[in-house]
Amino acid sequence: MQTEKQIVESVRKGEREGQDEMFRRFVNQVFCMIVKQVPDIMDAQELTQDTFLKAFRHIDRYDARQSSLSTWLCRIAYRLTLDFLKRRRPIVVSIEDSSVWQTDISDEELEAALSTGNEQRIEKLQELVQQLPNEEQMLLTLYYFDDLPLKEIAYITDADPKALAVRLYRIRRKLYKKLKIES
Amino acid sequence: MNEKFKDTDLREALRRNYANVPEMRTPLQLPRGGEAKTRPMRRWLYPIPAIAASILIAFLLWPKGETVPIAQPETQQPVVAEVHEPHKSYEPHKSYEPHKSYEPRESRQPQQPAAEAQNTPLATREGQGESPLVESLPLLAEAQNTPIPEELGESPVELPVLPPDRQALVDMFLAEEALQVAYMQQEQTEELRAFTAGLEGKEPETSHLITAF
Repeated sequence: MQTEKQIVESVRKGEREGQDEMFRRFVNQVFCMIVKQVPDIMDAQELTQDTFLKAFRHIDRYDARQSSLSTWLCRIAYRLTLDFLKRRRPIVVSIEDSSVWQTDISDEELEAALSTGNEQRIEKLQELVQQLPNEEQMLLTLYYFDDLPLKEIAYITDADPKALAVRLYRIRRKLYKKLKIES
Repeated sequence: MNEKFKDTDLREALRRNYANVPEMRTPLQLPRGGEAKTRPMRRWLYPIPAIAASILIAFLLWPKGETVPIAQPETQQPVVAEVHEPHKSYEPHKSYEPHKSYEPRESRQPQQPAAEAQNTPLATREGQGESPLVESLPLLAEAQNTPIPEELGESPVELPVLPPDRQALVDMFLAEEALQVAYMQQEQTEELRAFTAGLEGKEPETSHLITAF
């Protein structure tokens, strides 16, 4: 059983065995991350392969002190997926982003509103999440579904953790406002 | 910031959304050729493509040598300088006659007025059929179109195309030779001019030839 360090060294040397081991160990994680945003399975598989090819090509850029190998792979997958979705779908800026929604709501109030256990509200949230822009969907997925710490998500999305927290807050507030309007 | 928001509704919504996410149909395989594409190039190999590219670019950009026909050598030598020919009447072994009596040439009587001669075609000048010049034109054209028999003329020999560096050396050599010839001709002209001026009792004129060299 090779350690991550051994795998990285092997890939750096261009050895096929290291590439196979890295692919075998992380392919499911990368694929699951991509397929949540890219429903077409063929596209998702292709993006997964592209992710590993890119990782092998730029393995010299990997720094074990900054992140684990899986997080680094997720970072590549995140970028490739976003690029893919931008090419396929135009960016839609909804009117909810306008200043009408800029009224402040506390985190506690948001948390209470998004933790009711109400079935109708959950179903409505399912719809609303799918209407979000891709980047916001991915952010919510990484935070709530994959349960990654904010610092790791910041590394994957190449964003500042504080800015990411603000962004997360705005997404939650947007969902809250929509729920309020619907109800 | 480090505390995670519970937001259980949102988590449940996401979980349900991703409950039907398709799974991989077949285990993914690394694409073929991935190893070759991604194998890092050895650092000591980096200069080799650069050198090869430089040589290729230099070869493509270098002016290619052309074949030089030997049949017309005078046209191949570059004209380096214009040198005046020495006086044709000068003959060093003959005695010089400085005060030869001037005998004006016999006056020519124009057969037609000058204005009329200018407007008249060559063929009808002098009123006696075609002039010798006009008569020779068809013969000249025919001669030019007629190929030279093998026994009389040599077929033009073409030199093989030289490599660019050698062609440059040849060009430099030819230019230097032409310069030497020009210098020699200039010296001879100056000597002759000085000698002539001495015989006439004048001071030799200063030459302005080949001042560029």
